[in-house]
Amino acid sequence: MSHASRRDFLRTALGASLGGLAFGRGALARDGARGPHFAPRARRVVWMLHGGAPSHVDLFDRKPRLETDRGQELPAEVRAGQRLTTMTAGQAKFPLLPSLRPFRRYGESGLELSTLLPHTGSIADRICVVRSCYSEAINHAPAMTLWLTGHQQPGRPSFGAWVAHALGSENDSLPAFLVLTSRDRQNSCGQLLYDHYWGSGFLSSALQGVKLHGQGDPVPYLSNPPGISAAQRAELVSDLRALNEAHLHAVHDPEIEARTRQAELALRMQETVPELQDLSTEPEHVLALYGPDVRRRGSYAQNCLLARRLLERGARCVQLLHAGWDQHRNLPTQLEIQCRDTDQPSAALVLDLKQRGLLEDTLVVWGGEFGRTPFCQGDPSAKEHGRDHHGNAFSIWLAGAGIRGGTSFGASDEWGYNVVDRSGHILRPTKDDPHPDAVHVHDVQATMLHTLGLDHERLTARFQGRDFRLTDVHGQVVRSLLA
Amino acid sequence: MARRPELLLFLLLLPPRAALGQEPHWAFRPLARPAVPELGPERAALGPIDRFVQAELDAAGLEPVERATPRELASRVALDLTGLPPTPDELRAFEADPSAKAYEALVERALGSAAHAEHYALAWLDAARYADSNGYQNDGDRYAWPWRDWIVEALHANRPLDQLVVEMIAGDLLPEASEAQRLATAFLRMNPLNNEGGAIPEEVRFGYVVDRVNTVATSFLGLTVACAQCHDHKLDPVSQREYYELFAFFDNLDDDGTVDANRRNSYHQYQLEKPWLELPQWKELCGGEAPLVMIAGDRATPRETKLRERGAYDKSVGEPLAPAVPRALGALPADAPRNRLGLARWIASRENPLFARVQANRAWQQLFGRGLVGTPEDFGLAGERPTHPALLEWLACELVASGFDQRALLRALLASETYQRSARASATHAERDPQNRLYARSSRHRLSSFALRDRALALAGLLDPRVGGLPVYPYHPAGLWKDVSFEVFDYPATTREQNRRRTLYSFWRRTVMPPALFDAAHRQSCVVRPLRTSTPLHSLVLWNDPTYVEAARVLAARVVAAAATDEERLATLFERATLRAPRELEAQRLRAALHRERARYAADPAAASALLAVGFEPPPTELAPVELAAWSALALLAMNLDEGLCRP
Repeated sequence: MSHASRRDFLRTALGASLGGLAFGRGALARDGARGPHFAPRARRVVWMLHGGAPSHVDLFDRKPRLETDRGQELPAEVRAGQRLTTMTAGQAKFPLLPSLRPFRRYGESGLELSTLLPHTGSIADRICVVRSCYSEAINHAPAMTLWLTGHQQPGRPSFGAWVAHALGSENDSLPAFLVLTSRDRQNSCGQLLYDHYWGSGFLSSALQGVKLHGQGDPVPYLSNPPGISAAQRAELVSDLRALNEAHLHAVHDPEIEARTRQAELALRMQETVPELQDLSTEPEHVLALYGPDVRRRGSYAQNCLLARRLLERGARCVQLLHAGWDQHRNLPTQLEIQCRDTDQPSAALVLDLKQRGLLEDTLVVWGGEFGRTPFCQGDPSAKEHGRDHHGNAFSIWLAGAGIRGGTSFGASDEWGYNVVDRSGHILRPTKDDPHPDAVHVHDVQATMLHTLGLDHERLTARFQGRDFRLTDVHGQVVRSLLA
Repeated sequence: MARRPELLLFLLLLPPRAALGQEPHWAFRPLARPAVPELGPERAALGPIDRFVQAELDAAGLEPVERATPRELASRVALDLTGLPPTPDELRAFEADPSAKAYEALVERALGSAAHAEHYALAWLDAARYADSNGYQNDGDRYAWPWRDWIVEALHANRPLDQLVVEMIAGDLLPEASEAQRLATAFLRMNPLNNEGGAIPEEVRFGYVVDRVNTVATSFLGLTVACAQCHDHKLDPVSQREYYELFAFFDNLDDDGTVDANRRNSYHQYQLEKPWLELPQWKELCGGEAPLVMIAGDRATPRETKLRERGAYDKSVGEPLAPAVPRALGALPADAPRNRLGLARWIASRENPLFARVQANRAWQQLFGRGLVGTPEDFGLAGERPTHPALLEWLACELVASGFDQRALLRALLASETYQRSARASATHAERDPQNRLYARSSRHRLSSFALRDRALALAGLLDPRVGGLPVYPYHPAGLWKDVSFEVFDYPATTREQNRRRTLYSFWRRTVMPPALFDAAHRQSCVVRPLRTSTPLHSLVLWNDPTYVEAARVLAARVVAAAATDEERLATLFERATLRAPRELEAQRLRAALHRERARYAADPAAASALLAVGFEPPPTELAPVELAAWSALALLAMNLDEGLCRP
């Protein structure tokens, strides 16, 4: 093959094969990702998803009525016969349980939050609390799957995979979409964090989130085997390229080049990932910001700091998953512990991004898969009691990327049981019958994509003969959250 | 609800008559044997398959490439049929006599091997969503492997496909059903089990039935009926009512959405739901307890099936529905029982137009890397149309005529010139048909991660050929199960023996897919299309997973022992990895690498010892560690050459 024709061939060959590449700045910008639909407010996103379901009535949504009516029955017309999980469906009584700790106003905005969340209080003027979220899912795995993939059953692409699909990476030595997981130290609840939570579904598996593990190699098989050094590996990969190129010219299969490039990318990751995890370059005051747990590998605090390091290095989507909020029986003890372990790092991430000028174009989302019942599970006078799952009304917060800080949106009724409209009337919205004051999971997803410059109705992929979206056939951008 | 303009556009692009419903969609029409194209006297020697292919090539004005070399062909047959590379002796023998007769013998040997049954069983495991654990929150173990052994045995015996399908869907309902026939129905029970606290049993059970309907429809009908769970299918002729009529066949299974909490022990947490089959013959293997495999069985009092509004389990509406198949596909014979057995017999009959087409397409996909229909899960209106409609039809008719003899179909495909072509593309072919839809050349695709691991073991001579039995635990990243399961599960200690078994036997925990098995189906729901991607994570596995490092150093020791000089050893190593001799430039590069690695380990003997200590296999004592380490690094390089990672 002449030099010119070889070059032409390689060009065609690469054009045909790069669609399957996981990352690589040039590669994705040119061939794989299509870019935003309109000017984005956010270039990257970090999603702190707290599994097990943090209690909205204890943390974000103050309900004086629970205090005044303590121990009284939740009025039947409030519940209106809606389904309960089998854990409380058999309960004869539904006694109201007041918030565990008092609330107070924080910041110049005076945003009301539980005193269990003083650090979140310190960023009150930066966050927008949405108090009218709802989800039709009432169990953890389906609810998490709905938040992360837009569907209760596993199998669809996750949010981060959609974002990587649309926007690619801004970095040529790290994946576009990364995942960090942690759990409470007490192992107080049974939620697992399944890998379909960051799967790519029917999109290319190259788009799935890369989970950085909290023990052993952060990425499986990242370390060279004993007796093979980094320099040696680089030389072997260079041999590999030379030998593969010879074969490429013999058989004209562009996939050979694609795979050789993956071996070279792997080599780069072997350098960048350990560097990413090396916290010795972080100044003491930054480590202090995230709290004492930051030095413990695999902790939520360390994951928050790693998230900042990833975002800073060009990661497009970082998903922080933390399990530990399923307080059916141990609310009085566990809620405080969870807040202590997660409040400071969550707020630190926002502050740290702000200090580095990254908050302006980073979307930060904090939420659980649903909320918890305003009534008590078990006997409130017993030592062990708590709250059951509750999806009709709960709270999340967002920050950065044009989100209106120091504000709240939406409200729940006096009991925190149902979403209400602006004039306080109880709503019973469903995704098929939405209401502008009520914020469904799909509405949050649509809004998250919107800040990234993506129209959730246009971000589609065809599979099994139909166009799929993250938001299925639902979802409205909640424009009131945006400045 | 948002309207979707792209859907409208798509309908407009469909062939007009099909869109207007005047003529049934191609895949729903009864099978009709097409005429084999007449191509003139100079092509008289071509067999039917090649004529169908040649007719399309003629139309495109493309010439087919030359036949593959005997070495390529021998290794292609071995990799395609058994998932294992050929032995050097097999290669040499076929190179010495590449006659048609010798080729036939090569094919027969491969088809008759247990390795073939094991390799072909993998696609069934993916379709059946086979796993050794339950999935969902607790993800306890289950006994599923007896079903895996059942399918391997059935394939090894080349049992007719229609019989297999009847047994998988309704073996328990056959007259005087044997133990094996009842075991076959574990196919229906392979769905993930949910016993999360707070789950509503009826909602859970409804999900299982949905999963079974979708699995059967995808595997055997190539239909995406799942849409019709919530509303009439937008494209295919399956109404929501018809979905629940199909659902009614499976609604009567005797499980009720609750796991029997007594069936567990502390570590493995075996968790099962009735009905099950007890297999006392495996008692010894299972630590003294006869394994129980979940199988199908119907309730004495049938459940009443009704349409569910928007697919919600608790929104039954309308009158009770009798079991029936979608009208567009036909109907059960008048005398057929209205139960799973009636359905299974209809599915696996020539009366069902989809079954033979879907299975013929699957056979093509196994050998050519892609089906004639590129969407094996969807033969409906939104699926891809076949690249060679008449060829697919002919293959389907052959399959039916042979009494659903899978091996006869494979023989015919393997005998074709189309199969035996070289994979080398000329610049013209690369440009005119980059994706090789016309089959002027052979497909060159990367081996699956299962086959790559088996190949490494085979090249090193480590592969244990024993078939079946308990799942095994090969090397696995330390702490991964603990990390993912938050300390609930820890990966059991691996042994030298367990690392030598075929990858088919590796334990499959649904919530923690083995990271070394990239692109594997997730085994959460039915998957019938193989995934092939390239990511850096794959490369990390192939260079750093102890399986591959150990195989490389054992292969290195074999190569050093097999020849006396560097030149011969380099040639042997290259040939084992790529199945051909190195060209001069390649030999030069390898020589330089060898000298470099020798110098490196001579300067750092501790590194040599460290490399040789990877894995269980003891390094040979008669070789100097520095020398063996240098060859091991070369072997790791050679095993990563793209040529050997792909089907030639």
